[in-house]
Amino acid sequence: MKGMTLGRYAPFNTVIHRMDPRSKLLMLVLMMVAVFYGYQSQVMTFVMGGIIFILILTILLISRISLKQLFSSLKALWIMIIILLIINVLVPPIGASKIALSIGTYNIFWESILQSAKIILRLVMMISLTLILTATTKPLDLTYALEWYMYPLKLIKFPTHEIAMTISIALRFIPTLLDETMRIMNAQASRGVDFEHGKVKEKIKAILSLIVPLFMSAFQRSEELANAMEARGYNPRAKRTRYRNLHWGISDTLSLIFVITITTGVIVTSVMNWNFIEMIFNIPTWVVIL
Amino acid sequence: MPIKYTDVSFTYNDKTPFSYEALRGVNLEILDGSFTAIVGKTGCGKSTLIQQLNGLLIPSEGEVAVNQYVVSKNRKRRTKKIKELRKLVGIVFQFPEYQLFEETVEKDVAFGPKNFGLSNEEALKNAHDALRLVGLDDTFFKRSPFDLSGGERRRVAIAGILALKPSILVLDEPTAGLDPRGAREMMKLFKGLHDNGTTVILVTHDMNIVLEYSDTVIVMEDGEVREITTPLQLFNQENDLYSLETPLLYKFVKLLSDQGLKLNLNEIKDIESLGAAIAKARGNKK
Amino acid sequence: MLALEVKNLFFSYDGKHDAVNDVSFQVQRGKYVSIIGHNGSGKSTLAKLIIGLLSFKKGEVRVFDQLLTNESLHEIRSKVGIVFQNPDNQFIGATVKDDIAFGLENRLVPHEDMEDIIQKFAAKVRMKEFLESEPANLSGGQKQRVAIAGILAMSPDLVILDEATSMLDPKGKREVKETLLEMREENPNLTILSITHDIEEATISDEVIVMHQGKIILNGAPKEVFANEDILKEIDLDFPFIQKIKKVLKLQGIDVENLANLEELADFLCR
Repeated sequence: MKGMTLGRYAPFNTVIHRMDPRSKLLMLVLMMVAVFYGYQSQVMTFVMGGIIFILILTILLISRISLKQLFSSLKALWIMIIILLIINVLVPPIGASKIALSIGTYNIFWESILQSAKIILRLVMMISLTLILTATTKPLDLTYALEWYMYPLKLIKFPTHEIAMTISIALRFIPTLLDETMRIMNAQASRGVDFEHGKVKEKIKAILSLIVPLFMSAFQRSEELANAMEARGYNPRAKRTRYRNLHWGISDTLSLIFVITITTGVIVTSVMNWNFIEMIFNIPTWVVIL
Repeated sequence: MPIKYTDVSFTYNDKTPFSYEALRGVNLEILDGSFTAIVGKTGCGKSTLIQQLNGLLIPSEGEVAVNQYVVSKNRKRRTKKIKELRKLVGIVFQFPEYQLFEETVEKDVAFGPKNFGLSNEEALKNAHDALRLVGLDDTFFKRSPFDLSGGERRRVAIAGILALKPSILVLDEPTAGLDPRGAREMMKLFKGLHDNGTTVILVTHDMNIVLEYSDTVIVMEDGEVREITTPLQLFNQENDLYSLETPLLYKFVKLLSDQGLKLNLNEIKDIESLGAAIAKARGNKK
Repeated sequence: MLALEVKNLFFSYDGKHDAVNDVSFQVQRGKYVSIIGHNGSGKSTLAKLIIGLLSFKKGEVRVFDQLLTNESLHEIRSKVGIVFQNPDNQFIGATVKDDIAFGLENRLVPHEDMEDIIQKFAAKVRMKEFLESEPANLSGGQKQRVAIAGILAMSPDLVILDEATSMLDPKGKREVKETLLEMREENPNLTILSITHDIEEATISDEVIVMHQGKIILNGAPKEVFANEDILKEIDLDFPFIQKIKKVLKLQGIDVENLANLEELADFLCR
């Protein structure tokens, strides 16, 4: 357990890794919006989607995220993808008319296939974006970013510091708790507990024999931790200085401006229903949607 | 039948970037009815070694034979009845008090026997016997384990394994964190079990305990077995003793020896015999 | 000057049985005092009372002449550092750096000063190479050294160790003990109160306090305290090795009463 990193964080030193977690978080949100905006014309959807996709791929490359990592995150969702495909094929969108394939009496329309492709593309982009964030940002840094964004909530007496402290302590203890779980499992297995097989009643007992000790130990831990924190002068309501400061740099500003531009562009294009392809190439739409 | 490790190796997280070879080419035998101590620095593989004894871990290579049971990666050689093995070999891990979970002490101790098919009455009887054995009388039976002190909880946890009546008892640092009196009482309990025929295997850092209780010592270092010997032979070595702590008794013996007073080490097992040996050596000098 | 003065202290967890029963003692500044006794004798409870983690109804605690009250808690805690038994349950930061910084943050140390302090004290406990390490990758002994660095960074005048080495392996115990000795050498004015099971450690401290069932039953220099063989035997407490040796030698007709340590003893026996 001790060698593993939490979640997807991969300790490289790329430009993206060095960026401020606050900007990365904000850019994630903005990019998600850009990914989800739709267009009236199918062509535009795919062209814009394609552009954003290439952008995302570039960032993936820069952050040294391996395609293997991407695929393993997608693997978790492949069932959902298959279900989506099936639903879209079985329930074609309204006005579907161009038949792509006929299986017996069943017609599979191009529109269905396009729709499915659109959804899958969006999903892949969403997952890639999230992966970029989690692979390049330590969980603790994300917590600091969240804490910063929650700052205005302090005005309504929302306990932002306490929550951030709780999350950071929880993160610090995850490896410790995992070790403890292993130890308790070993101890109970040595007493004849079978964690894999057995009737429902036995399985429940097995889980109890794991959860109860973990909980009791967690309570004791909390008490000792609270004592240690108090003895070291901790007072969540009092003023404290900070050791770790987040550093907003040039790359953060530039990237943020870039992303804001893209997202704004996407929204405007969608709302104004501008069809670039038509405008640039002066090709009538009916030719394109073939 | 002795416990036998044949060419046992074990690697954690094999075939991943985190792979770690904890045991390498281990060959050893532990005799029936012996009191064997397993010693070595933290990280030498002691814990990994003992987990092979009841099948919690299966050797990456080689096999472990305990009576008629075989723990091995080889499906043809491997015993199907791992669960039975877990009744034969009782393992008490470090800080076992963290495994308690039932509502009452007796229920928790009876949990093990029930898992092995005993009826409620039989399990409770074994539980009561085991609890009395560890020095917890009937007043403790219906109390909640979480109301007890740390030392009492540890004894309940140990009773939980003793209730299975294992013929081989494996203990991983049973005295860790106990005060000297608690440690002494605990060791007395294990010695009693040993005298009654239980094979005891003790993983420990406390060399004083090794000297006082064990008849065999297995020294491990970096995943390998370096030596299998007796406590006397181990502590009488000239070398650095694998960075193990020397028992106080022997530290003093060495001090005397350095200054010219040589004692017959075979005669020294405790303080009293040390005193006698010193007097004898001085008498001889005159 | 008195570092610590405890007068007629009483404390009960359940309202029926006194865990600390009329305890009074004094500790001079700069002394190294060991508190020994069985688990349940009240040692840890006493430590928590001194630092105000538990509140007592009867009695008085004065730290460097300041009375311990709800109001003076914060100030007194700034002068006292305590290291607990469990290395994991007092390690708060995500890394060694962050953990040492925790105390500094609480005490409003300016951000600009923090890095230097952290580097300095990590070096003192020989954990400088591990500053970016996470606790999951550290041994018990290393974590305890970080805990010590964390409290030393606050420049305390009194350090309390509540069985700080109980859960460590021999190497860890050694590392922590060496760190403590260095601490003492560097700052002879530092007062240390060490709750321990290690009888040999008690032998080399300036004073030994023996607790039993919530009361102090012996208090004085190690030699005096351990001379009370009957009392110690009655409560089933261990004796230092040198004392045991002297005793068996006496039975053999060899009188070595006045020898102070094992080296002198060996010297005498080999003449």
